[in-house]
Amino acid sequence: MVQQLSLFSSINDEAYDLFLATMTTSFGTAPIMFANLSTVWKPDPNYEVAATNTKNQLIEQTRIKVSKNMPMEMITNINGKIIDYKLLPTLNTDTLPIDPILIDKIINNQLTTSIDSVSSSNWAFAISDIPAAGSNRKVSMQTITESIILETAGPNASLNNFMKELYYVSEYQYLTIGVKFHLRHNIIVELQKVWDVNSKSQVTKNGYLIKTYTNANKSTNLDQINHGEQQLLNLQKDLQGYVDLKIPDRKSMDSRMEYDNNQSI
Amino acid sequence: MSANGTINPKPANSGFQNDIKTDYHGIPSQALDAVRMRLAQLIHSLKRIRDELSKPELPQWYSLQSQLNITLQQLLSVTSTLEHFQETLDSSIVYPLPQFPTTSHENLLTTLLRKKYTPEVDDWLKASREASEIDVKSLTEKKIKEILQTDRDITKSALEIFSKEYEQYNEKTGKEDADDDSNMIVDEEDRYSHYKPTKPFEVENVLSYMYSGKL
Repeated sequence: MVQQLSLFSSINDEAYDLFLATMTTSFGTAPIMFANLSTVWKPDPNYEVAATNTKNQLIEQTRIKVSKNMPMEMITNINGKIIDYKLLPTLNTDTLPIDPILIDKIINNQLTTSIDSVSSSNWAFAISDIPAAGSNRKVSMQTITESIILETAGPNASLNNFMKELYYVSEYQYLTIGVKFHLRHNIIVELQKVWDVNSKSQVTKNGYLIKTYTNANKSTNLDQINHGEQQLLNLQKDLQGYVDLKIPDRKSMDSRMEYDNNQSI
Repeated sequence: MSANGTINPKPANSGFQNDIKTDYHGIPSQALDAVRMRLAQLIHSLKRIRDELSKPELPQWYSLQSQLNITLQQLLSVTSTLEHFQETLDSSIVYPLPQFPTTSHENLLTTLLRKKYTPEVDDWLKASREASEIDVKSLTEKKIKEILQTDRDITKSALEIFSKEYEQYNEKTGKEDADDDSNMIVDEEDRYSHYKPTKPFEVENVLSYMYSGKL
């Protein structure tokens, strides 16, 4: 269980080069390219779990995010190109830069071509709480419970079957491709584009989502949390006037199930 | 107090002290007032800079720079005022009137009439002499003058280069000359505005998609 402290912002496509140059020269770290496939699962509706609005109840139904690293080789249009930060703007398309059938195969463990890095990277299984409330917060603070699925056993072992055993079914998937900077004091700055797999469209149209965060591994370790918050605020101050990092509305970071029979709070 | 060598009023015998009308005619009040006003302004701006710098959050660089500019202007104005009234001030002699309660306010009196530098002022002078890296004792006066002249020349050429560059800078942005400090700040904003990223979407929309699939 970690406490994730974060601040967000967004920039337009044209600002990409300058932002990278700014980060590289200001903080002296190089951008690292990454790609993630995130699959989001919800409780299986076939089991007729009482679909009440579970907010503020003792037991809350929540989505589960299971994600894994994607090897850059699986992304279309990059064959033969050098994989570095210059690649990201060339992916600046509205359509999904990966074959959705491939994603389906990954989830069902039906990959025939063995791309080593796919099989070797594990799924990360995460449940997140709604960020902490409070009007005088300076950074967003969210509790995330995460573990790694090392192995799924049984006949037809796959992520899909594994989740089925938990009575969860797939809801939606998204692909994230971006660059990140590891700054001092364990601050990470991510610049990312997000594509919805089902509609094959880009969610971050015309721009990039900026996520800056740091993790504190215990909610009781106040020193670490305060230190992390201070470092994030320092970064916010450093970038102020250029990219203004903000706390997003906490309701947008709520992964709990929301049923229609009740008004959301 | 008196000025220009004329002594008014004449020191009187103790018995008639209270009868004597003080003649303020000789006091260079114009010069003193001018200097006092400019010094007050300077002290005010210096205090402001000191307060700004002692705040936990530093002010924006342009506001600090414009404040420093103002302070330098005021310092210049003090020096030019002092230079303007140099003759008057140099020839003024200060002494207490007979009515002044010398015994009870001796401390105040000695402070006011002190002509020697206070120790800290002496230290400042010493420090600035050392900072200039000119060894006053071993060099001849001519040599010192030469050094000072070179220094002035360098300063002058640096200023010329600066003003030239500054004009070009202003031309580039197609703005009228920006003397005024407030103009300068607006200019800075304008100048960098096209580098500033725009927000192509609301962060919340992307996050609600990532967390709950709402498109």
